[in-house]
Amino acid sequence: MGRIVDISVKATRRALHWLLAVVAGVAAAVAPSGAAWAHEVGGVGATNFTTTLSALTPAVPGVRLAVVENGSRLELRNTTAQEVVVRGYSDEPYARIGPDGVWLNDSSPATYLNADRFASTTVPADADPAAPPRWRKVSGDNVHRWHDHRIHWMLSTLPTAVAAAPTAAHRVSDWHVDLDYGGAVLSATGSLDWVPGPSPTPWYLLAAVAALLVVGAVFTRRAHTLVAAALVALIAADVLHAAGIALVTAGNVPERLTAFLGDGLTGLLIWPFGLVAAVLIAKRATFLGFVAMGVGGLLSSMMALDDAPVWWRSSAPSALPADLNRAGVALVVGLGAGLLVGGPLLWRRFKPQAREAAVAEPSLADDMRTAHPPGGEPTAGGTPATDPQAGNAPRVDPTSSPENGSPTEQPTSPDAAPVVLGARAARAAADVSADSGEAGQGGAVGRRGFAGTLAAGGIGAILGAAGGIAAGTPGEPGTPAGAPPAEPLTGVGATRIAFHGERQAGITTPARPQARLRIIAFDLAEGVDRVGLQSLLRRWTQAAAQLSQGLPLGDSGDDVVTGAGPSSLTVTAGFGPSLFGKAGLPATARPAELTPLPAFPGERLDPAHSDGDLCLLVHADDALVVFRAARALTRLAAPQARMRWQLDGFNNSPGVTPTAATGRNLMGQLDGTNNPQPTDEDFSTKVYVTDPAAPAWLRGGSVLVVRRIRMLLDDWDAQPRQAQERVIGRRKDTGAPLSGGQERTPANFGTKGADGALTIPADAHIRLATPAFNNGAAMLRRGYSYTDGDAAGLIFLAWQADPRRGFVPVQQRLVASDALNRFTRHETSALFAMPHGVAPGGHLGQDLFGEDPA
Amino acid sequence: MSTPYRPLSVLAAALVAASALSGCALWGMEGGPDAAGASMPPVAVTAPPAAVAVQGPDGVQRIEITVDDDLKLTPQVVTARPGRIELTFRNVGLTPHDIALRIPAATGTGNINGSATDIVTVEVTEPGTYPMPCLYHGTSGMRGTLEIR
Repeated sequence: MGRIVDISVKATRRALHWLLAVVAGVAAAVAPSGAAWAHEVGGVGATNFTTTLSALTPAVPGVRLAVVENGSRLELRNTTAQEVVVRGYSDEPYARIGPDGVWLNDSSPATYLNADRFASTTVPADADPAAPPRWRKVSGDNVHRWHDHRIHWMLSTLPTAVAAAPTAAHRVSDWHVDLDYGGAVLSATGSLDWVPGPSPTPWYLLAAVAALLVVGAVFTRRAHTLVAAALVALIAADVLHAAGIALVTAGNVPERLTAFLGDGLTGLLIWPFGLVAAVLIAKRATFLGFVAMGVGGLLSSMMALDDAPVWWRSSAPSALPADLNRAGVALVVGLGAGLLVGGPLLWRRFKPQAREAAVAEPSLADDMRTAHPPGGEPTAGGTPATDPQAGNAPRVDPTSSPENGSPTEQPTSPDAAPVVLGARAARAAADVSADSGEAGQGGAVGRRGFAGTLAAGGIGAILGAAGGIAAGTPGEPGTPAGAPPAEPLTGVGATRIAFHGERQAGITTPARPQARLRIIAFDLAEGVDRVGLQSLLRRWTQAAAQLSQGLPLGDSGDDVVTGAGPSSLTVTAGFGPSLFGKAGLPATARPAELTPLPAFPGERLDPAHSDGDLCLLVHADDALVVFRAARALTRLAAPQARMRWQLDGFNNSPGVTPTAATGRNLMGQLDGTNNPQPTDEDFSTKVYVTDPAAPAWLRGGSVLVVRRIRMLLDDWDAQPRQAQERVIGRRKDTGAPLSGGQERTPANFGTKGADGALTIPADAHIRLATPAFNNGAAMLRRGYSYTDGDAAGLIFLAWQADPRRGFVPVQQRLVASDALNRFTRHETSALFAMPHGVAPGGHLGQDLFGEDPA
Repeated sequence: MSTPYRPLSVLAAALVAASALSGCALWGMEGGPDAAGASMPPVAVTAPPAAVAVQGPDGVQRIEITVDDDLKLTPQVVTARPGRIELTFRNVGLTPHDIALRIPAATGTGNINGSATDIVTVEVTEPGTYPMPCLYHGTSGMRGTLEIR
């Protein structure tokens, strides 16, 4: 009879098991898809794509740009009194962030495209970037975050290069985003890289060990306590993981709390539920092993499905350190999987039926076991664990059995078969109260106290994390180190020349040539290819942009200029004729403007200090600033190029002479009086290449002739002043032509003196050099003086659109008969073509490589 | 019926099967460890053939270029002779694009929504290679080329 009753009870329970298993399974299967929870921010989960913001130049205090949400969005925070305008994809104004909040331009396609991570949207027909902005206020904050598609990968397949070698690092692209700020353009530049992640093996092992420990814990004496502790640890790890994600979620407190708790507040339901279950399990509510199974299975499977990639990808949307985040995921997966198995095992081991059977009829269990080996409570299924009928079997855990089988425990009537889950749970709870009363005397207080502490700790962790999320400010870039100098720099030191622009700085900007110059010529190393050359130009561009804005490079040379301002630093780069034919650039690609200079009679050139494949001109109003920049750029040239020669030049320091004054050379003359003036109508076409037949990289650039002209000053200074003035054709003091007038008065080459001789002699320098007698040949001379031991002279720098209509004809005329030749000697010579200027995000000479600047 | 272990076994088996089946698609574009099961780009055909714009009786060279959700222009390289060229950009996907032309004066299609078409006519005198990047997707490598020979 006992048998019949027992069988019917068993059948009922079996049905209940099925029901529970199905419910747990459905929950585990459905929940992850229903609640896209806690694994992605801004539509991006763990990824090997890394978006880096290299620089925002020039830097403006109070305007902070940051890559947030793992590259999904850019964040601009503007705490200044002036608004910042973010440019869209056609350079139109897209967003404006300022004191009166955030406004979006409804005429900009970016307004619609940037709302979605993959720009899957339709842009209204009236969104025309060329149309006048239609501003719409979207928030009163001074911060805006948007999906800028220039900074991240938009395709649903890997880049081709990455697909070919996914375990290697790749530079996917460089990007730039422009901001307008009070008439200045702030340029953000950065890169998108593929950075392979680490091996996931350690985390597989951690998850496996965690799972095995939980399953193993079921068979120890402290099974309830340990299972409860595992459940609390699982929830704590999950809370930690969710907090890490919530902390990088941009937005206000409710948005971050939603990120923390999950869509539909999954966390709010599961975590307290699990913690209550953990407390009750610790109090020996064996039945709640099924709750542990459900919670464990749910969290584990969700985590494995959604977050396992953090193990093998290099970055994840989490505020936690990457390995802590990975460990958290491994613990959730491992502990959850352990509980999925361990929860039911706990029930099987300690279920009241076993106790009751053991209590009521100790011999019956053995009897039944013998009678119904396969159908009863078999060991089939391969689990060595627990024949539950053997719950009191000494071989499993001798110490626990007597305790569980204690006759004083609440007896469960087998006749009172449970009908609904609620009733069963209620009785389980009743079990607990009785059990706790009993265990209080049994010395189990310590264990329960431990579990309770863990549970309380878990709740505390949740509250603490929530508080931290509410208080924290995610994605904020750190305040740059280095306090501003106590005394703000003014004047010379603080002056900054824009690096980016249509034309390179250092040719006609600044209007007054800086006081100091270093010119460096480089030779390409053997075997450098296009990629190498391009990489060198990219490095130079980046460094020059930073140096010219007074930003540190992060190398040891920074300290040379610590405390110093940019001092009008400009860096100008150029290509020599010999570059063509190297680095994969065909010799035929050499533009006609860069035809090597012919040999001139009388010159005594030192080939080792002439020519060069590449050149850099570093100008500034301070010698230390020039030295620091030039040295840094020279070091950056390695290994693709090495210095061939260099020259240092000087002029008057600013403030020493009136700003507009023509500079003097070491012979005492004003040098450059007859230069083309910026106000001339054809100034640009004389100085800059505008010929449409010129290659694209050169249009907007200029060609530079460099000559180091030694002055034979001993001979010169032996001449009386009038003789010197006749050599030049101008007065030394005022610079006025000998024909009369002021410095700028046009020379009258026909004027004759009382003696009938030409006032400006036939061999006077200005007569031979004047454009009027050279078919209009003109060049912009911005020379510098140099000294070298006891030698001294002029670093002659002449800028022109084409030397064949500039320096060459003039020099050919001069060498034939210039009176000045007796006092000068051309010792070195070089010719360089300076490419046009650099747009933010591009690099010098970029279109030399036929590359799209986009 | 035979054993109460069954539900567990079934559940475990189902989970294992689910992970195994979903394997590749499970973790998205970048796939599993070492990019196993990642979404790979279509196998690159060795140097996609350049399509030649066809000259009509009016002397205008015409070609249709499709742009799609794979962020591709097809054909990617268009060759033409100096002169008037009419480029028809047909968006066969859902994602909007904006193809820029730098010849060298900047022009372009403006926004082309999914399933929309835009025609750009350019006059090119100089032989050369002119890029046609998508302003929205340039960083992701969406760019074509117009070669004038």
